[in-house]
Order: sequence, then C-alpha cells, then structure tokens
Amino acid sequence: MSLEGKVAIVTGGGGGFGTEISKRLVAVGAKVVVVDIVGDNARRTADALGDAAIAMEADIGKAGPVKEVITATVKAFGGLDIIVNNAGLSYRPVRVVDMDESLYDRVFEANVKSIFHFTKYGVPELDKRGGGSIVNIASTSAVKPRAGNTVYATSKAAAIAFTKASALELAKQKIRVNTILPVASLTPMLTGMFEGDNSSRIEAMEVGIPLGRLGQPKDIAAGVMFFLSDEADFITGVALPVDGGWTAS
Amino acid sequence: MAERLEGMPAIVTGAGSGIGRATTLRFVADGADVLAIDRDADGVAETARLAGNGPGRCAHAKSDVGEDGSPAEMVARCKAEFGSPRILVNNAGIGAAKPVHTTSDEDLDRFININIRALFRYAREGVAAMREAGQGGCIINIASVFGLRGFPGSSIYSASKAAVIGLTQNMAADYGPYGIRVNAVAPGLIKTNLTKSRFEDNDAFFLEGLIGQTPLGRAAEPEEVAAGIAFLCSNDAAYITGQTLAIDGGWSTTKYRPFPDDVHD
Repeated sequence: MSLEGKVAIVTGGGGGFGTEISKRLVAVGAKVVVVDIVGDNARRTADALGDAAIAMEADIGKAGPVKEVITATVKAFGGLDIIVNNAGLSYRPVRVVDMDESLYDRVFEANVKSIFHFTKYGVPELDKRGGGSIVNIASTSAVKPRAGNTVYATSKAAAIAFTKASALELAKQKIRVNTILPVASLTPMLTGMFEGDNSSRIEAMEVGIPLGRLGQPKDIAAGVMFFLSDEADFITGVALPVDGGWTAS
Repeated sequence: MAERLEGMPAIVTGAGSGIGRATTLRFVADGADVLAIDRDADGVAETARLAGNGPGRCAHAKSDVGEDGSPAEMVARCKAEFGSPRILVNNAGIGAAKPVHTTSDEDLDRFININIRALFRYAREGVAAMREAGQGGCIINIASVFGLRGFPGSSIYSASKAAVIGLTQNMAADYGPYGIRVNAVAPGLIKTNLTKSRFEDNDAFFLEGLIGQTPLGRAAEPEEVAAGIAFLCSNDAAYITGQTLAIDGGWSTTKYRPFPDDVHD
C-alpha cells in the first residue's frame, strides 16, 4: 500500500489509536498533521515521525480551531486528502441521573460536532484534489453499550449515522466515508476512565470477547489503513467493528 | 503488502470464475497456497493456469460442493498438497431466485442445499481441521447485500445469505477462543457469471435498482471483493471476527438516489 503524496489530518493523534494511525500513514508515504487537545502529546507523536508530520494543538469541538488546522495543513503540505476523526472524549462511568449537562455537551462537541466541523471545512479541500477519504472512529458502545456510558454510546451512534449519511452526500465527489467501531482497547482513554488498579475491570471486559483480549491501537490502525487504501475503493458508508467478535456474539 | 499470506494453505470454493477466481489469484499473489475448487472443471483449470506466476502455489480440483463427500475430500486434498488449511473461503453459491409465490419446493431445496447446507458442511470440516492443527485460522463466508436488505424477487436467495451472516456471527463466538476468525463479505453488484445475464439483457429494473441506488454509481469487479477478503484474512484484521463487510459502493447503507445536480453545485 502506498499513500505517497497524500496529506492526512489525524485528530487525537497524541496517544492511543491516533498515534498508531499517524505512524502507519507516514510509513506508507503520507504527510500527517497530528492534532491533539494536549499540544505536548501531539508534538511527541509528530517529532518521532520527522519531516513527514507536524503537530497542532486544537480543541476540535470548536469551528475556529478546526478551520485553523485545515488552513495550516494546506499551507504546510499543499492540500488535504484524508481526514481521520479519531479524537473523542470518554468519562468515568456515571448514571444519567448523576451526570452534569455540561459533560453531555462536552462529549457531544468532542465526539460528534468535531466530525461535523472537519467534514464541513475539510470537504472543500478534498474536493480540490478530486476526492478523498474520511474515516470516523465510533465505538461498539453505539450498538452494544455497557452500563454507565449512556451519553458516550449515544454520541458514537450519532457518529455512525453521520458517517452513513455523509457518505451518501459525498459519493458523487468521490469522497468515501467509513467508520470503525473499536471495542474497549488498551489506550490512555480507557486507563484514564478508572482510578487506581484497573486489572480486574480489564479482565471483566475481556470476558465475552471471543478472541479473548481487548483491542490494541495496531488493530484499529490496520482497519483505518484498509479503508484509506485503494483496496477499499468500492467501500463507503460502512461501519466496521474491530472488536474481537464482541458485537457478533 | 505483497506476500502477506505467505505459506498459508487455503481452500476457495466456486473458484472457477468471478469472485472465487479473483480471490484465488489474489491469494496466490499474496503468497498463499490455494486449492481452487469448482464443479466447472474447465473454469477452475483456467483459474489455476492464471495463477501460475505465483508466488504462492495453486492446485485445482473439480468438485461439487453440494455433494456430501466434497468437504472431507477437499480438506484431505489440501492437507496432502499444502498442509492443513489455515484459510477457507466459502464462495460457491447460486443465484437467480424467484419471488416466494413462484418458488417451487425444488428451487427452495436447491438454494438451501448449496448456499447454506454445503457452506455449513465446509465450515464444519474446515474448523475441525483448523482446531486439530491448533494454529488458528480464518473462514470467510460470501454473503450478499441481499442478506442485509430486501430486494424484489430475491426471496430464498436473500434468506440463504441472511443465514450465512447468522452462522458467521455464531461461529465467531464459538471458535474465537481457538484463534479461528470467521467473517463474511456482502458484495453488492459485482460483474460475475451470476449477474452476467442482467448486464447482457440490460435488465433495467435490476440495474436501476442496484447501480441507480449505489452512491459510487457503478458495479464492481470481482477483484474489489477479493481485496476485501484478502484484508480480512491478513494480520491487519487480526482483531476482526464475526463481521459482515459490505463491498457494495454504499448500496446497503443508503439505497441512495442521487440528489438533483443543483444540490451538489
């Protein structure tokens, strides 16, 4: 696979899935703008990738910063072909009755509105290159939720619907839009959800996953790379769980 | 990604044409050793001839998957030629169903026999070999977008393909603990022998119902399905099991009818 000459934006690139996705993109010749709300994390990823990557700190739930990211991308690398909407916000399990409305808003900004902004402001740039590819990272929680996670699951269901509907809207412009549904995976997002020793929680989650383990960044990155490649030229509007069989069983 | 299936013994049914042939050629190009099976002896011999350049090897056999002895014979043949199968692609299937009210018992049995019973029996034989060898494995069942969505006139064909999707999910659960991944692909409109007459006859209803409602606006080549299958069999899909991947240009998601042009301008 080669993505030589392609320019990609990866949100949430400062850790977990986003770092792995950025690495794989660079490995096949793409230029990558690594975006993260924590600038130091974005820089750590980008620095390790040399001249092929730059870092940007941005709150992608807001239109202004997203527009700045896109402008800077085009300025740095001459265009935009690929958007990986990977950034997302999770939180410690909480019942809806105990949840602050402000957290609801932040989750929806990070997990849904970010995709809206990057589609709205990114598509004109993809269009200038004659097409492109967008991959949104949703979650298996959208189709098979766990307790304490209602608003997160709802936001990820919205991301799936956004993917399918925008795939329809953008097909004519030769822009494919797909989404990957990771199951719980060993990333900072997961470990950050629990205090202290979380090994018993992780073991509990592994039960019920037929392949017997949680996801890993490389699993998700591999799925993203497939969607971005020419191999997936006839695939659009698809929601692919990468979940060791969790949603199938 | 050349040779990402290097040295993997594989069985592909219905390999004499279309998706089965394309999958065989793709696997061999990726380094797998493929036993290509079809009831059409000439077709599958031609597939093997086309696969001649390697780097993987290709053997071929005439066998009707609907016959009871076929799975055991072909798994034994694969073991003898290349070793115990690590990959099984259940591609053989029949199409051209009729609406329920004009489907005879004979038609019904034919679809159930080939599209479900034979596939189930191949999967059973394959999984037994994979468990015995203890190295895990990968089974790909060819379903159809008609197993995900209704389409006029496809009655028992749709039902048989929906059954394949159900079996795929179940087998993922049963055999995940043994490192055996089971996935399906759901092709949309692909240019194969199964759909050839629709193109030749310019079947307006069929073509409008599919191409006209496919966001990417075209039918696909068998190689595009083979690419998805090769991905699902590769290490890149090591954590993917129980899934049905639509390779359909967006048809099953949207049943898209294009906007008037001005919406896009």
